[in-house]
Amino acid sequence: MKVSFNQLKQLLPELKASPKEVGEVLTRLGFLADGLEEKGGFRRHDTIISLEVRQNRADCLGVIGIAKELAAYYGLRLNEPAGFASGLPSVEQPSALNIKVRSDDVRRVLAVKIENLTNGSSPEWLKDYLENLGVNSVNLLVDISNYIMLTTGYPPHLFDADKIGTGLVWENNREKIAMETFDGTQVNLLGGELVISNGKEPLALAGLIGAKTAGVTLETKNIIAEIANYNPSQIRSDSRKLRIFTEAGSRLDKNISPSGIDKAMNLMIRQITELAGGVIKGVYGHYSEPVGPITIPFDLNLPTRIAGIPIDEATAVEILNRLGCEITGEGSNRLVSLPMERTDLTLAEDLAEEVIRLYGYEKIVATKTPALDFTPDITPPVIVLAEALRDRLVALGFDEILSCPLVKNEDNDSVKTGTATAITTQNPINEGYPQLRLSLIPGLINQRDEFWKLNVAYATLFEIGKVFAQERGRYEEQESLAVLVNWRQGASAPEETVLLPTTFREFRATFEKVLRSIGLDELSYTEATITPGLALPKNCFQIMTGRDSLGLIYKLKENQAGATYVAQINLTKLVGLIYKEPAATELETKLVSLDANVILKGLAELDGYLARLSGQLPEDNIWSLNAIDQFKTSDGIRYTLRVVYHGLSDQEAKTKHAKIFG
Amino acid sequence: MSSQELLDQLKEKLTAAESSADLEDIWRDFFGKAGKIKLLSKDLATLSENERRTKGPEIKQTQNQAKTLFESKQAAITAAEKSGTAEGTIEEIGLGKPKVGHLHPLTRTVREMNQLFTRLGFSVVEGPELETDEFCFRRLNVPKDHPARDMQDTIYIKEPDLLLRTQTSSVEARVLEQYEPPFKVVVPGRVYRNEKVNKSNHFIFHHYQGFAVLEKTSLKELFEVLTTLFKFMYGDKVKIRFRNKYYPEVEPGVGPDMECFSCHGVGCPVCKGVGWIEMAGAGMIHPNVLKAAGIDPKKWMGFAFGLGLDRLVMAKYNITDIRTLLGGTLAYKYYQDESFL
Repeated sequence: MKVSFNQLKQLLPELKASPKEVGEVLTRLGFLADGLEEKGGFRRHDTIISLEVRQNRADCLGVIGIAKELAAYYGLRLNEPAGFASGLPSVEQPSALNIKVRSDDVRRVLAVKIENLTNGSSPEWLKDYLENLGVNSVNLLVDISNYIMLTTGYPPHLFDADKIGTGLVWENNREKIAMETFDGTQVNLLGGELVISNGKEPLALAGLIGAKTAGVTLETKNIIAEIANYNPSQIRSDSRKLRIFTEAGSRLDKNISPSGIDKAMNLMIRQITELAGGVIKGVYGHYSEPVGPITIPFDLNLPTRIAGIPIDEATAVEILNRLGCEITGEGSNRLVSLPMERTDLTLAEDLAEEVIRLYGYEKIVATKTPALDFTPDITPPVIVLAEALRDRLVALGFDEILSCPLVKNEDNDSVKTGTATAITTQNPINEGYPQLRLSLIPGLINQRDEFWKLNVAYATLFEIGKVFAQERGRYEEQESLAVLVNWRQGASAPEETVLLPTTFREFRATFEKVLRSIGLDELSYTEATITPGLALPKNCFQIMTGRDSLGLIYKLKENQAGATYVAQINLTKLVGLIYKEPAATELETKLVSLDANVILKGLAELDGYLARLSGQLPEDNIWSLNAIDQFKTSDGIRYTLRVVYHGLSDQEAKTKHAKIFG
Repeated sequence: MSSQELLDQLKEKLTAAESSADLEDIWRDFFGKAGKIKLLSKDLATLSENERRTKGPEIKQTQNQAKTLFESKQAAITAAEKSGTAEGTIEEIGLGKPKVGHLHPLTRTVREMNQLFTRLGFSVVEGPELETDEFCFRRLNVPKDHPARDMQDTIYIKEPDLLLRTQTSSVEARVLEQYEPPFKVVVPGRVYRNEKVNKSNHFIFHHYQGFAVLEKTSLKELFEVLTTLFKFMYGDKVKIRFRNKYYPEVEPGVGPDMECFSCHGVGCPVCKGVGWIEMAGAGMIHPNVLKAAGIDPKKWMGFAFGLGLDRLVMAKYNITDIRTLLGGTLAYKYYQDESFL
């Protein structure tokens, strides 16, 4: 948002700071000043400050809001513009306005009819003001409405009263209909948009832009001026859906308080009647849920506790008062009544933030290394394992790459082996890459191909990352490791002497060396029953540890001079085997772990018991079943079994558990 | 001399032989043109056909036996001699410059940061990249209608519930849910945004998140953590400022900036004329975030911070195209330029 320094000075006559200093203060307060621009030359010099307004500070979308921040910071008096006053506008010759509100998305509407005014060119000060802020001057009435928006943050809309037909209706559009905006752009409404219509056709997209039909021109004599407040989600939704982005929309898609509309309206009426003449003939008001001031209980010690430096109670009270809060009560615990426009304040912590930011973040000095309380280490073993693997692979001459997890459909088709299917994104960035990868190997192959283009003889690559799959309606991701060795006949060898595996046997031995070095003692291989399309079927083997398959090792089926060998293993599973931890991550449901005790004769009976139990357990809801403890009793051995359920609530799991174990 | 006597004589000589030179002498004596084995067949032509039929195979068998005895001894002596001598030059054996492996620059940077934070007592946690709306947004106090939830910003698997995480704060929400405080955690990880890909933008970013939930902590401790981090990364002379900023998941919010390394605060194209470079987002964990995980905000306090790694890594390793970080020809640079890493 651009702010005129001249206007700030009018609102804060006692302001002594330079534009640069003001920019720095506003930055510290939460409004990043990312530009100062000198404008207007000698005739009407001004400095324009570009500000990034915090998304929750809808009260600062006009210059008055920013001036209030500076007034609170410097302790200055705010000189509000004449006419910026509460209360409904006074009507000189009352007449009823035919206006209806038929949408729940409308929080408040205040409309006035002004007749017999004279539109024309704006005075020089107004033209200069708008020009300096990058707004084109159109005509007096339009310029005034823009001035009101930039000053107060409330965007008004003006209709030519003689062009609207019988009246105005705020409603959600129910049909597909075209609308031509005031600047001649054709907009196709799809249905559901919040519009202001005359009962027959839309005259404006509420909060965004007006239609040409009832727009104000130099010939306009009578107007209906409205300032309204809407459900911000509706405005944002309409704006994004129709790709219409306006200054008004960028304000009304935020939670602006409806309470200040009358002040903005009174200021606008004063400007219009002073500069364009006219008589107020009617006022219409709709206010769906008027709210009074909100009060929050507040411990004056909270800012000290949060900041970690002493901020005394008197200072906290003074800062809140400067921000327009009213404080009642005695002692540390007070009641703070908030200014109506501060829709961002709802909790005591919000008030503490107000105190701390105005007290100054710069007063919180950080000169030493923090001495934080001790906390237990919760680093999961898979991270430790991945780091160990990286070290070993690098020591053996492998280079790490990271590849893109979104891949082409055919990449996944080429590595698919089981019943798991690829996960497709609903709104892919690139239509050619819609799926999440089932395997890391296509990424390694792509990188190898890059090496080929560069005529590199050998590639020894690895990647550690997530692979994704969908099986039986469940979405899963697994941490995986993949390695690739490629040598290419005829390509130029790198300068260094390469001691790398060049046969399948050597590749297998190298990979095995890595796995053994991280503690996987038992390794064997079986011929893969289902081989990926990429693999040479006779050279594709499952890497086994005990009865568990960790992944595949294979030679690529390629017609080239040289060879490429790859292997991929599931680290999530591996870590479970090495560290005896659960293997996979269930994403959509939580796991419920419940224990049960059974007394049996010994291990031989336990095996049979677990086999029978597996038949009784609800297969779709069982994550794991393990005997986790044993204790010798006079009747035999008491085994503690742990059943981990998934896809069930706590209560559902307990009910099932009780049914099975009694 | 009979055939058997000849073989016995050969055996005796071979037993005494110790070197290739000895073997050469024996070869001449027995297998040469005038050697004893050769002479066995000298008189064969003078015999009758019947005698030749009997004598011929006998001589042939003696010659073969002699040759086998010789070759066996020759192999033993060659092996013995070879075991004590060099087998080739450095190039032939392959003892030149070894192939050096490399970590990806992002991994290296994350490791360095992890080392700092583990020294400060933080755990390292990763989390799912496929995430639910609840953990990516709702638990982090992001309102239902927040723009970040739009399909223009988020990549959905199954709208509105399943998506690719847009921030590593989702892991914060999961740790808050899964563990009892106190804890201090850092989360390096990949996040996804619905953005067009070009030289300086990608739909995949790498974040580094940190958070702590303790009985007592403060903005001061957060500032100390961040100051320690930035000094670790950019040296002791780095100048940092903290300003107020809004993020739904924290209250108060903090924007830490570093004085521009290029212009030292004066303003230049690098810092877009501001003099400062935005480094991260941070703040005290919002009480609603703690409450959503069943943690009592009256008993526990927390701070959180997060920063992007991609630009940091690009600047550090002089990488000019963000696309290179993922599956480009980065690994090839390892070959080309050893000083790259």
